[in-house]
Amino acid sequence: MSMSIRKFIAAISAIILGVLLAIGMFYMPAADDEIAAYGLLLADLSVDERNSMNTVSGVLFDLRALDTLGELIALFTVSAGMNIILRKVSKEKFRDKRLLSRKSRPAVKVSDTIRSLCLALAAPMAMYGLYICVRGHLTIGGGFQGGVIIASALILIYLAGFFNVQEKIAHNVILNLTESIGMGGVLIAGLVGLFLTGSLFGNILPLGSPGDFFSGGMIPILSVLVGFEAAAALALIVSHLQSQLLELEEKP
Amino acid sequence: MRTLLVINLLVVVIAATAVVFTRNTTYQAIILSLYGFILAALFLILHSPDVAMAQGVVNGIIIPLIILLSLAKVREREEIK
Repeated sequence: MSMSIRKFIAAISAIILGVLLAIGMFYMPAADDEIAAYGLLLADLSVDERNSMNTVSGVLFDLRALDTLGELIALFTVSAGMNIILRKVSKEKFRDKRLLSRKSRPAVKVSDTIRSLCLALAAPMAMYGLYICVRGHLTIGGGFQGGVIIASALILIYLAGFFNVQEKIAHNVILNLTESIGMGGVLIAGLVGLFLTGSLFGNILPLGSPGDFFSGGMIPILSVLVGFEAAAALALIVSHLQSQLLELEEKP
Repeated sequence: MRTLLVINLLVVVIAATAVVFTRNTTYQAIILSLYGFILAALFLILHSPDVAMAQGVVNGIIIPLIILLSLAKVREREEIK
């Protein structure tokens, strides 16, 4: 396809998209408009019936837990796909570990400021991620957010220049296990709800009183399991890319 | 709140344009990270801290890291050839 035809098609689609966006913006309610009926209904449902103070978590892990399951399967598939695409093929071989920092690939100098900041922040960040995971039903946050914060705490160790430490803390085997525990736990929780209440992800645990740590039934449990899955999947994706860069090289 | 929202929207537009018009891919990844954090601030102003948290971490840290790792691998292959 020649360049002029491409530009023509791009211009036409840009014009159509622009017109549609303008029409959509024209009919959109104002940002500070009155709250829609659906929002009020959801806030009532998640606090009164599920005792979850955070409506977002109430929707994600109870009312629409099926959508969360779909998201988790997408994450799981991405990390499995990375595992298959970025495996060691017959053209590649493992780098000589002793040469890693000397001749073939000089290690990048990380400044002391970055190193000390990254190392000092890694552990508090992981703890903060765990806190966000566990208290998803009470305050802002939830499984996915906490999981990605834990994964980025691992990345901080890599940014400080300690790839071997990161590999030791979160070896691929550990990450795979964590991911399987998260994914399998969510599936089992959903199926148990299906058998005991008749609906997938039915809430089977006592709900407690709203605002308590042990409240919301299945919501905190599902939140922690989703946190496992998200953290492990993101860490696996990054670690496959890292091993492509740092551990493998093409055979001469 | 309204002024803050308008200022943040303007900064988002400037940052997004900067991401598109940066030609050096390494710098582009870093500006993309900055843009992710600005977008997270916008979500925070619009009363959705849950989304802001995920946006800040994924677009601010993980996506730029994935881009930089892929770039390093591609550059290494070019050096060999």
